[in-house]
Amino acid sequence: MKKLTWLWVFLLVFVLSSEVMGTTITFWTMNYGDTASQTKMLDELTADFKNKTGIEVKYEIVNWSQAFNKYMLISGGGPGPDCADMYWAYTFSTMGQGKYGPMDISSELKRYGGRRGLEKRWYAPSLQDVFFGDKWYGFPWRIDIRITAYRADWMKEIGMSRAPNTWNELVLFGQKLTKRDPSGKVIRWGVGIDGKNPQTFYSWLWQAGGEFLTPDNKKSAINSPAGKEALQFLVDLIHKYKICPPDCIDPGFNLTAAFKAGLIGILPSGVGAGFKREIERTAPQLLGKVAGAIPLKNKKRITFQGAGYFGILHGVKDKEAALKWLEYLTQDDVQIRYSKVSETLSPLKNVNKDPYFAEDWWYKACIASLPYGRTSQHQTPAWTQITNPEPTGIIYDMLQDALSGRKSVEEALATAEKRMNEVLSKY
Amino acid sequence: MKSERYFAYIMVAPAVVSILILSLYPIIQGIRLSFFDYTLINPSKPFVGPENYLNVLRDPRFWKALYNTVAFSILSVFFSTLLGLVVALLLNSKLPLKGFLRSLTLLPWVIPSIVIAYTWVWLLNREFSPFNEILLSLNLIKGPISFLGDLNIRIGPVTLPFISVLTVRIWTSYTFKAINFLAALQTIPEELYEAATIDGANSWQKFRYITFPSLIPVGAVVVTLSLIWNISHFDYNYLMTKGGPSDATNVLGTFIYQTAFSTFKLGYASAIGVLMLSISAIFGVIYMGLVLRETL
Repeated sequence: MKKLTWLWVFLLVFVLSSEVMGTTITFWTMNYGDTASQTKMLDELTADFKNKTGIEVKYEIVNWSQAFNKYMLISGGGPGPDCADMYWAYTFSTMGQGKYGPMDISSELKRYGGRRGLEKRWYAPSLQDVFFGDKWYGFPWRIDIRITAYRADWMKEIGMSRAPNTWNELVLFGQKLTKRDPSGKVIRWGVGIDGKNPQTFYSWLWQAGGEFLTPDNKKSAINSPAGKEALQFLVDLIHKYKICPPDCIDPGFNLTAAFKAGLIGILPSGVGAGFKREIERTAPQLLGKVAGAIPLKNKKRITFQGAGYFGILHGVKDKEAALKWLEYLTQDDVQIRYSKVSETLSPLKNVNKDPYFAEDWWYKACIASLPYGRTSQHQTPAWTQITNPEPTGIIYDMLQDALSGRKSVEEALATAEKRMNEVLSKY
Repeated sequence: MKSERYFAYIMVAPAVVSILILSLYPIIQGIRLSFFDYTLINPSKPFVGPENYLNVLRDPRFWKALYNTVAFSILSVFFSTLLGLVVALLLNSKLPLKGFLRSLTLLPWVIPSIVIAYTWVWLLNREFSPFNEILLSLNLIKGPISFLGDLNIRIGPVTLPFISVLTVRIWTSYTFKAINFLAALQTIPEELYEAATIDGANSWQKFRYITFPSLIPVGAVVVTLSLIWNISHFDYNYLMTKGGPSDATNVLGTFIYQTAFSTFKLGYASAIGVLMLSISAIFGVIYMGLVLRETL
C-alpha cells in the first residue's frame, strides 16, 4: 500500500513538472559567420521565443564539415533533432523513404496560403529547393548566390571602370590583367576559377544555354553543343588564353586565398555573400579595392544559387511546436538579424530591403544578381551523386579530366553523360 | 582450479565482447552487404550474389586504386624503414643532445594527422610553396610547380602528386620504425662488438654480422605491421588530395569512402572493403606467425 502511494506521488510530481517545464524542442543549425556571435544570437532568440510561447528550444551548432554525414545518418534512421537547418531535400528525403530524415509537411501548406502564399514573401527560385514534386519540406532561409568579384583598382589600371559583362569581355579583360615577369612567369592572373568544385561549371553551362538534365530529370543533357562550349571555354581560359592558373584543379588550390593574396583579378560567379566579411576579416587591405558585379552573359545571364531551409524531421515529438519555432525564425525582423549574423543573403524579399543589405557595397551586388539566380538542385536524388565535390563525383571528374588535359572536352563530356545516365536510370 | 578458470573468462569477457561488437559485427555486416545492391537512396535492396565483386573486378578505377595502394605500401614501407634504421643508428651512436634529438624524432608521430596534412598542403601549394621559392632561386625550375596537381611531371609511372603524398607518408611513419629499431639496438650486448673489434672487424662488418641480424626479428614485425596499416591507409591521401587529381593518389581506403559516401553505393563499397580486408589478412596471418614464433 505504501509502495503504491509513493508511485502515485512520483507520477503526480512527474506530470506537474512536465506542465511547469513546458514543451521542449531540439534544433540543429550549421555554423555561420562568427560562431560566438551566432551563439549569442541563438541564445537571445530562443529566450525570446520561450517568453512568447513557453516553448523551450535546445539548439546545437553542427559544424559544416560534419553536416553531410550527420544528416545522412539521420536520414538512415539515426537519432536527430525535431527540426533543423537543412539542405539537399531531394537526396535526404529519398534516403529517409518517408520514415526518417526530412518530413513532408505539405499538410500544413494551407495555413500559409499554399505555394503562392509563400511566393509573396520568398523569392520564387529559393522555393524550388523545398518542393519535391507535390511535397513541401520547409522554409528557405538563406540564398547562396554566386557573383563576380573583381579588383576594381586593377580595372582602372587597364582603363576599365567596370567588371566584364560577357564571356568575350572576360577574355579581353583577363588578358590585360594578366602580368608576367621578364622570364615569362605569371605574377598576376586575370581570371580565377575553382576547377575542383563542380559548382564552378553550373553557371558556365547555363550561361551557354545548356542544361544538366532533360526536363523530366531522367537523362543527362550535358553532352550538348552548349556543354561543349562551356567546358571548352574553361579549358581555353587555362590553356589557350593562359589567363587562369592551371593549378585550379590542384587539391591545395584555394581560389579566394589566391584572390586575397593579389594573385587573381576576376572571380566570375566565384563567390557568395559571405565573401564580404571574409575580406573584412582576413584581407582588410583590399577594402575599397574589391567590388562585386552581376553574373556574366553569354546566351543567358545566369548564375548558380544554392539555398538552405528550415525543416522538420521525422521523429519530431511536437510538430506544432517545431513549426511555431520555424515560423518565428522566418519572421522578417528575426531574419534580418539572422542574415546579418550568419553573413548570408535571405530569400525573403523584405529582408533584403533593409538598408544593411540594400545599401552595402557588396550585398547590393548580390541582391542585384538575385534575378539571375538559379537553383543548383535538380529534382532527382541522383543529383548529389552527380555533383559531389570529390573524386567519383561525375562533374568533379569531368572537370579534372578536361582541365588537366587528360581527356579532350568531347571525351570528358561523353564519359560524364554515360555515367550520369547510369546513375539516373536507377530512379 | 575451476573457479580460477571462470575468473579468467570473466576477466577477458569485456575485451572479447568489445571485439565482437566493434570489430567482428561490422566485418560480418560488411561481408553481408557486399552481396546486396544496397544504395542509401534506393529503397529496394535486392540480393545480387557475387555481382558487386564481378563489377569491382571490371572497374578500372578499382585496379588503379589497388595499383596505387600496392605502390604506396611498398615504397612507403621500404623508404620509411630505411630512414627509420638510419635514424635509429644515429640516435644509438654517441651524439650530443641525444635526448633532444630523440624527442624531435617523435614529432611527426605525435602531431595529429589533420594538422600535418594541411600544413603540407600549404607547403606544397603552387603559389605559396617555400620549396618553389628555393627551386626558383637556384634556377632549377622555370616556373612554380604544382606539387599536388601537376600530372605531367613524373618519374616513370609515378606522378608528382603521388611522390608528394608518398613523401609525407614516409615522413610521418619512419618514427615508428626508428623507435622500434632503437629499442632493439639497445638490447644488443656490447660484448659482441668488443669481441668483433678484437677479431679485427670493421664498422661495416660489425653492422653486417651483428647489428643487422639482431634487428631482423623486430624489423620483420615492424614491416609486416606497416604493410597492414599501409594497405588500409586513408588519412593523408584523403586529407591532402582526396585521391586526386584524376585518381593519381587514390588508394583503396579513399576509393571505398568515395564509393560509400559520395555515390552512396554501400553494397559496392562493401565488396571493395572485403577485397581490401582479404589482402590485409594475408599480412595479418604473416604477422601472427611472426609473433607466435617469437613467443613460443
